[in-house]
Amino acid sequence: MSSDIIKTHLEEMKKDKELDAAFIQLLSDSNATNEDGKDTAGKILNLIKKRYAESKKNNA
Amino acid sequence: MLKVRKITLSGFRGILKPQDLLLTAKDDKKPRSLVLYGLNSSGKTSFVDGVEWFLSEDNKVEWLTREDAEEKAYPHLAVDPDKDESFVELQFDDSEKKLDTLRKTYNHKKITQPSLSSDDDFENVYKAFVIKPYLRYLEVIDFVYNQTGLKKYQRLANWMGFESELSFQEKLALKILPELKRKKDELAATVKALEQHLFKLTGSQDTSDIEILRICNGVLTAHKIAEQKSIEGLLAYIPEFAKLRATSSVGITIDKLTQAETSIGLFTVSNTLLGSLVDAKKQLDDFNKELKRIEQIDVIGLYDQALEVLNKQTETSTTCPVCGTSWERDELVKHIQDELNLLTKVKEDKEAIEKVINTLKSVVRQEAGTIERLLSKYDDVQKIIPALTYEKTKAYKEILSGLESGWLAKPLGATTEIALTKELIEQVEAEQKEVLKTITSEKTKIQPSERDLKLAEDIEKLTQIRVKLIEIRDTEAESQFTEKEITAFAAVSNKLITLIQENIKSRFNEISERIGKYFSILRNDKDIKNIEIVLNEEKGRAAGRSAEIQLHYYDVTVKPAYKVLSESLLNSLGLAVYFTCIKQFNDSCKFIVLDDIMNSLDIDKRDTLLDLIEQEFSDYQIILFTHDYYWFQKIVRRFPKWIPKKIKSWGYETGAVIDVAATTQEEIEECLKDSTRIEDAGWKLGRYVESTLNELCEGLWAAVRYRYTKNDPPSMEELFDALYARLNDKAKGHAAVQQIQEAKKYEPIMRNFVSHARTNSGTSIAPAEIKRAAEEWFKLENELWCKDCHQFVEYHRSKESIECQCGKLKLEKAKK
Repeated sequence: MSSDIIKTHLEEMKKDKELDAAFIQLLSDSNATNEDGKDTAGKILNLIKKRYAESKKNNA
Repeated sequence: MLKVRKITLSGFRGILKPQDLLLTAKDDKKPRSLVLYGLNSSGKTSFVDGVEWFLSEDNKVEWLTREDAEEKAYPHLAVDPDKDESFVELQFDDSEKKLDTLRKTYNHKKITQPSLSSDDDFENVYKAFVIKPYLRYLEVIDFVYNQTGLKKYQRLANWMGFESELSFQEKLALKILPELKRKKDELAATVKALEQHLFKLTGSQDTSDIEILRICNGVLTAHKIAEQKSIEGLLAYIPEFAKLRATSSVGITIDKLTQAETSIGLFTVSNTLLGSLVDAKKQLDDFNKELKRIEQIDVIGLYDQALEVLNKQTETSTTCPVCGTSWERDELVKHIQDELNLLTKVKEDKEAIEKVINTLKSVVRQEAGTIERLLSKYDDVQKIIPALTYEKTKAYKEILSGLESGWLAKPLGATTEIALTKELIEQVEAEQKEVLKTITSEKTKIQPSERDLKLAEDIEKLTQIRVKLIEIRDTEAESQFTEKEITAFAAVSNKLITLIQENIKSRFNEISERIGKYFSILRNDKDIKNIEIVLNEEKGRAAGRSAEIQLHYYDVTVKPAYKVLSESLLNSLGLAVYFTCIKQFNDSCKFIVLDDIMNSLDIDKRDTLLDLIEQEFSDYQIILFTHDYYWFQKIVRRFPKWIPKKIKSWGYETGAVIDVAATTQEEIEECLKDSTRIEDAGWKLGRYVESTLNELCEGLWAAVRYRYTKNDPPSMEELFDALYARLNDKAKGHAAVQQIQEAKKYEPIMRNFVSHARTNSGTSIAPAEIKRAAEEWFKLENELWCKDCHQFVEYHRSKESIECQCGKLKLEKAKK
């Protein structure tokens, strides 16, 4: 079941510039849809992979 | 504010035909509290199950889920899915006028998705409470016996409504973060594997740029090529070096063979895989044995049996439905606890096995990939050397594929076979060596010049070194990047967990004071103070997801509380926690369903539960079920505005037959009207007087001789005498004192009908005599019963007085 309290916490955390907004959003989506942890981890790793590919492209 | 006017069950659990439980008095729509008496297995729990299912957003009855009964167990067994409906309906009394009558109907085609009379209205119902407004006896026991902090936290999460936060914390700690760590470890392992390849190519453990440059420059120098000054220069030059490959057909063949030879030389068959498979198989086989056992346990039957034993206080032994052994009551509780622990252990073992299997699956997949690439190289060589055979390697690949699609894919309950043998692995390794030997001898046969041969080998070597080095750099870069990202994610995760924990701690603090207050109402132990629920934040698997109850015992801080609390005190604490949560967090839901929770308290403490209800929940609608007749009557007297009902009988098809309950006095009078029920009247009166005399003597501190065994209870005469002596001492001359003597005159009649009567001469007593005995007794009760607070007078030590709780009725010595 999704949690309103977690939703509120994550919304607050988005205001903190030192925290990664994309990761916060992934957790927010995970909470909203009651997603399985493994699937959420998969999305996080995909995001990291994508970011790495972009960073390689920028450094090339 | 939400209360309930009526509960209707049909085709649900033990109720087949539509059955109403009315919570309003005649001609009055205002909902009232209700106490329902019924023997065990008379259908009471069916109503509680119905309410739980109705109020559950997940459409589950939790205790049935724990017993693996699940949704299929909800409809009555005789329900015909094509003709009959199974439903639960609640008619609400809603001060905000939003909710009226709602129905949840079981769907035989989609058992987890019942149909709702109104989705929006049900949404409003679910939002109306944080703490589930129903409590069962076993849930109090469950909380008390949950020894671990993690389990307590989970139970508190259930009661206090932060289950979803707990579930999210667990998702982070047990699923997401371990997956990220696994990826990090995977990248590190890949770098290590590549460095191993590099070692095989260079012959040197040192894989630094300087060492690689030195080795490669050695190769170049041997071919009279100028050394490269930097590793970057080397990497750029090697493709140029490769262009020196011989272009003749012999040269091309040598190149191909050399490429294949170098690649094949780098492959290593796993020598740990077989061991890992054997270990996993053993763990899985052990677990599957337990799984079979669990499937055999009829846990519902176990709970039913347990309830029957635990509730029937007079029975001292029973039989365990699992092992057929006879048990003493207390020992059965422990036995059931052990079975529950086994179920818990099975769950933990299952999680551990799944983790092992997942790791093993990765390893097998990786090995299968390696062998597939090796076979591809063999195929390339076979195009040049047709006589080449590699059947063992092919067989090895088959076995690995079989494992992936076999028991590794569905391990639980599967038959585990390991076709892989040490012998086969050795044969695959031998085959690899044989292939390399074949390639070397083929190269020799082709008779290229030594120079050409050396050149081909060195080109291949440097090319492979270049490939591996670039791969290592890429993987290291990816690893560092990934680690940095994971650290950033961990910062988000840690911040979120901190916020969740702060929120939970503040909820704990909010409720701790009230828990203390309620505990002091239920118990009067001055040695126990400052009860708090605290979060365990120490490191460990359940760090931050574990709670304990802490208190001060003789000014010493004790955590967890069960270290110093007896079972009885722990029961009271469990109730104090639950009721606190209800009060604190259920703003708009003002009804509570209590199922046989009186059993969780000692007999002499059950009054205090009624005190708690009266003092703190007088504005709530209490719906209380009990199988204890004595306490049912006590509640009826204490709360005259409650609706008293009883289940007269239960039948498989008729369900529970519910009727308005009368007081004992009314029941006796009713029996006396029927000449066939005179003896019933006698039994009701005798037992009632006996239990009430015991209660009065205890409350008034009347001196009754102490009993060492249960088989020698005080006689009625003894109790009358003790009561008389006490009141004569403290309230001499009061009408009650004289009335005791008047009532006692009928003791010879009433003693024939007590719970431990030694004679059975009840049938010879005339109805008129029983009637007079009842009249005298109830006259006495009148003198001792306060019509305002609905309680008997008691001795108050601090004031040295005999009075009721509210002080309006006092018994004093008559003034001369």
